[in-house]
Amino acid sequence: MHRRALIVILTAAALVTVAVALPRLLADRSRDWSTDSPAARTAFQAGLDARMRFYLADAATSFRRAVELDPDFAAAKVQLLDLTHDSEEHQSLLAQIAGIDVSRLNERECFLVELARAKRDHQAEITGRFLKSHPRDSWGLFIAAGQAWDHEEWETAGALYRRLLEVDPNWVLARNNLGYMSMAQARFAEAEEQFRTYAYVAPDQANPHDSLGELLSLLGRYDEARSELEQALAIRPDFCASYEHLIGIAIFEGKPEAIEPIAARAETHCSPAMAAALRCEGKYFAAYVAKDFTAPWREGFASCVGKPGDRGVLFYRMALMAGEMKEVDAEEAALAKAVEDSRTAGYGRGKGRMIEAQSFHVRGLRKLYEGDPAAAAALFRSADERASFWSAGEGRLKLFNELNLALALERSGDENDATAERARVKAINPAFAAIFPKIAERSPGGSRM
Amino acid sequence: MPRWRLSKLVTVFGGLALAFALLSIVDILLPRPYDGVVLEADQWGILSVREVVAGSGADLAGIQPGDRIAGIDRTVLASSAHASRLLARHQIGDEVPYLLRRANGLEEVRVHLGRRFIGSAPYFYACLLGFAFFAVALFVRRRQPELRAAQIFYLVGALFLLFLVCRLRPASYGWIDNLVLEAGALALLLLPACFLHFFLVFPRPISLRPAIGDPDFKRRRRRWLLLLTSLYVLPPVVFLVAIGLWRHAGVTPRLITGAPEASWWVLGAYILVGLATLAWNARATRDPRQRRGIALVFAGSLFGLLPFLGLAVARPAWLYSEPQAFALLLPLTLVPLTFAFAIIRFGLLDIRVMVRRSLVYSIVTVGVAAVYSIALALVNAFALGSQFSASRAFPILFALGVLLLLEPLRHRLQAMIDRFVHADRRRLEEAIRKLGRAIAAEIDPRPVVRDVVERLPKILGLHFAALYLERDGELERAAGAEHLPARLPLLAPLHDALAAKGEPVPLAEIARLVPDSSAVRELALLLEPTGVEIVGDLTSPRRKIGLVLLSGTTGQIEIGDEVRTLLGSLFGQAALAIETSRLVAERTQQAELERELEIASSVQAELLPRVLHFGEGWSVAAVCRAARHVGGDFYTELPAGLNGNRAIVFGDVAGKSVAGALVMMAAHEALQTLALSHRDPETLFALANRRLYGLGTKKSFVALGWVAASDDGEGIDYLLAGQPQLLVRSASGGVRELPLPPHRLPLGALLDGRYVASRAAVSPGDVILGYSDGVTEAQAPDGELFGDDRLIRVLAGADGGPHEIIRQILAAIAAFTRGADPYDDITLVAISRDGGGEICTAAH
Repeated sequence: MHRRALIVILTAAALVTVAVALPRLLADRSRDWSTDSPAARTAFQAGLDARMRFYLADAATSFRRAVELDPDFAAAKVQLLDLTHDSEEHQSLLAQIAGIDVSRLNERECFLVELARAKRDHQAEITGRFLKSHPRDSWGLFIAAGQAWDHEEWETAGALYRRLLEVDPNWVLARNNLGYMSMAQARFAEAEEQFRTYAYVAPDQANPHDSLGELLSLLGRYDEARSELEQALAIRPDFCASYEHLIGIAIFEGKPEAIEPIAARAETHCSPAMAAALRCEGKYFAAYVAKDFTAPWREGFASCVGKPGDRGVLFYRMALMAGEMKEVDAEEAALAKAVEDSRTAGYGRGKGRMIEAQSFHVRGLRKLYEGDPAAAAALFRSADERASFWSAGEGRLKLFNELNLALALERSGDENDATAERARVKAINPAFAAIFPKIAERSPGGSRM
Repeated sequence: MPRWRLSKLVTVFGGLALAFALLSIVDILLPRPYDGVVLEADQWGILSVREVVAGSGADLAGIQPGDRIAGIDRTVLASSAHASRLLARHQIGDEVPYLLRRANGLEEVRVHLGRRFIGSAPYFYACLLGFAFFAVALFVRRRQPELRAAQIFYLVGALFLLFLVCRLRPASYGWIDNLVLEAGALALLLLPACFLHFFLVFPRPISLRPAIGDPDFKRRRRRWLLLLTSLYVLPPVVFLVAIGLWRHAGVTPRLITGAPEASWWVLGAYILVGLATLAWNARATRDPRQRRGIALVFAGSLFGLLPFLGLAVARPAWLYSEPQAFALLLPLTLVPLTFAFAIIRFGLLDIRVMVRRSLVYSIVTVGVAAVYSIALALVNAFALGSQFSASRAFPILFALGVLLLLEPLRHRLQAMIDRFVHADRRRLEEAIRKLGRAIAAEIDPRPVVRDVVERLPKILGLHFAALYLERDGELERAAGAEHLPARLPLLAPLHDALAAKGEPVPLAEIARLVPDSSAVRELALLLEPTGVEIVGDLTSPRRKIGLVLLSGTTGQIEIGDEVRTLLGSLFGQAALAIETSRLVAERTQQAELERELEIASSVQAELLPRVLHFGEGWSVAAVCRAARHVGGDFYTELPAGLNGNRAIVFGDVAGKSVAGALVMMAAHEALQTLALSHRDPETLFALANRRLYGLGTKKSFVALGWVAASDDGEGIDYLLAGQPQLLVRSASGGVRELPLPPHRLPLGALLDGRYVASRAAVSPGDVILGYSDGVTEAQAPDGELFGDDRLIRVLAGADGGPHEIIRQILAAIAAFTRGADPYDDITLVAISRDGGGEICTAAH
């Protein structure tokens, strides 16, 4: 009798094992991409790899090739839809995706198609539903994390990215995004770890070196940053963001003479427009360093920085110091309008906050110029609350704003808070904190100190 | 859970443990590309470097203990198995980029892959220890498959194997690492409870454990199961809580060789409680041998485990330093060693081990030879190149020295081994010999029986012994185990076979010993369920005395060939002692009987009158000679008639010796009593007949002859009841027989006997001879009877008076029988009408 019971138990255990294992085996099969063309599959996989390397143009080309090889390749169409900048192609793909017969697709492909068909408002719901049934699906996690990122739901996005990395530790874009999220929250060590891991996994990609260079430039480790950025450019000379980050380093270091060679390289590998913008920024910075605040208007390059609202903090400071109050007013008004627009016109919340921070910052500078350090401090605080270290540019603004806040606090007699603010900056970027007194001489109201 | 199933589970678990351990060893030996990194165990998802093999690729790349390997071959690692897969893609000699996480951040290094070699001397020592422990446990399990303590000990051995071979394995990257390390972790979770459980049932269950037949069995069993469940559940719970706190509450536990410190404390507490229980058991054990065995195990466990606790638990906990895990291995060796030694020497867990001296001696000899060889090699090495070593005489002298020293050293070592390993056996042999000497000196069987059934079981550590002695063709249990049958058949072929073998044999072999005897097979079947294991024979040269049945031992000593040989001698001595005591008893009894018969003979002689009276003018003589000390013949005189005459009565009781004498005395008493009131012979005989018949001695009749002078004085009146005819020898020498009366049945034959007296005329000078049949039935050595004719011839030739005639007849009988004892009692009565007076008779 006991022997029979043992046999029954063992049989039941075997059946349970099979019952548990079978769906998993089937689930593994469901991860395949639905196409009958091996060539299309190869092209598609190349596109995924390129996308993972952040070579988006290459990725788009590969996906386009996959669609050509298999016109019914739904997943390739969805990926291409995400990357194409051609509106005609975009519309065509949308139409094709609308007509896809999802019955022959696996669950993940169905999810991607449904997501592509849906309006932006419903995408989070669709993703949530898919993740509920496939909590460890890499694509589901990646897309859900991206949606949370867009909404600046850092905790959620971070958790999703981390879960994704548990599932697939080598999903480098997740590392990249997680690194930027850590950077935005001033968790620089974590960010560096993510970027370095990214660089380790994909040493032949430009992006991880660029991300790492951007981070290191913000932290004042300029040589390391330059090395990483040069490495990125050595891999992909057309990786244009790296030129911008090199210019940023030059600005951080107060070396306007370093800008022109970088601009010249950018002109070769990127676009003339970009090179022109970089040179314009170089001219402004050189004049600023030379305390020749009227130079843009005197030498006629004032207009090279673009339209009001896009001309940047440096232009504003120069105008303010040069007494070009019309330009100052126009910039403030343009920023105020941009803030309003960002609240109503569908900007991402991150971009809106950046504009708000910029707006508060320039108004703070004006108050400082006008000799009202207390009001300036309040505005700088507001700017500080909104700005983050999301990128090197925004981080540079945040650090600059904090040092101006310290200056305003100092002028309003709040020495302790001023010292604390300077210490915060020093902890992040000691090099920048060290050269700030020189900059402060060129700050609004600085000459009166 | 049914016992069989638990037993099978235990077996399967041990098998799996062995498989894991072997897998681990095999995996270590397989050639694979390897970086030289030894990982910390139990850091899930984290590849933390515990040590780096000197000179390996990792060492040359600057990887250090404490580094964490985050990536290999441009891939972020999810587990050590993942790393293993990545390394497997490479060849020995490849250079692979590693991503290290250090205190100051991530760093990339390049590592040259070499041939894998993990493990160190301490680890291989740990493996040896683990396998040794498992071997001991497996041996115990095989020898005592049904014993619960043996099963748990087997589990403990399997867990120790897992712990030592798998848990302490230097982890590299293989999936097998995870497998064996997790198996090792399982061991760490189960080992404390198993260890304690073992000491709760070893050498016998503590009182908490219910016994079959306990009236409160169910409640006690519930409590016992609850206790065991708690014991087994607590370590995993502590482990999981520690890990849970670590994972979810951020409370970082201190890890000691990969396991939370709390788990080690639990292990330590369990071990201490287990040792205390063992000490208690040792104290409560009555059997001194068992107590010595338990004490030895206690000492081994104490000195083996205390350093373990100190180094693995207390020291790192107090000093906050990671112990050198292998430092605890050396003392830990004591645990299996003491168990093995206690089993060999004290038969722990009822296991009998026969370590053959020849084997041990061979090993010792080889060892000694090896030592000398090493010494020779060393001396050669040191003396190499010297003048000393160049001499041709050197190796010869050295070899001679070795030969001279080998024997003394070997003897000394063997003596030591005997002292330690075979001391109990030696003591046992001595005890048996001593017992044999004691038995041989006994002439009283009771001490012999006591020695066999009481002292011998104590010496051998038997459950019981029983002694059966022959009685009336059967074997009757004289002493010993009462659950054995009271009687057994006496099987001569079995006794003969056992006697021929000269030593007791196992019960299972007696059927083979006497293959043709179904009775022996039946005896074996009868005794098998009773626990009898050994059957010994008690046979003396004269007869089969009995059988000794012995149970198995309670442990300690195996009843092997040597012991059986000793027991054979012992039983021979016991048989002789019992036989001797019996003979002595018989002789004593016989002597007493003879003395009593002599007394009875003298009493009987006193019954016979020394002087007979017959009547005026008559002479009479009588003799009564008993064939034994006492006899059934008699003669007496009774009153006869009213003229004062006396009648001579002579009787012969059918039967001799004591029985005949008793009937004779009864007849004598009856005749004497009845004659007081009944002088008429016919009435006298009739009444005496009734009285003798009433004695119930149906086979013991009394033949009587009654003779008295007739009233007229011219003859005799006579009455014969079963006696031979009277003979009359006339003065002329002729002999005639007097006629027989019509009824002549002996007295006591029938209830209603009729007797008629006769009268015969007797002339002066005639001699009347009455006699018992013992006269005519006296036998010559060749078997010839004396007979009537010879009696008549003697009577006819005899001269002299009655006394002389009787003397001559007796002489003739003696000559005829050549001095041999008469076959039957002899009574002669001679009466002569010679006008003489009364004649005294010679009684006997």
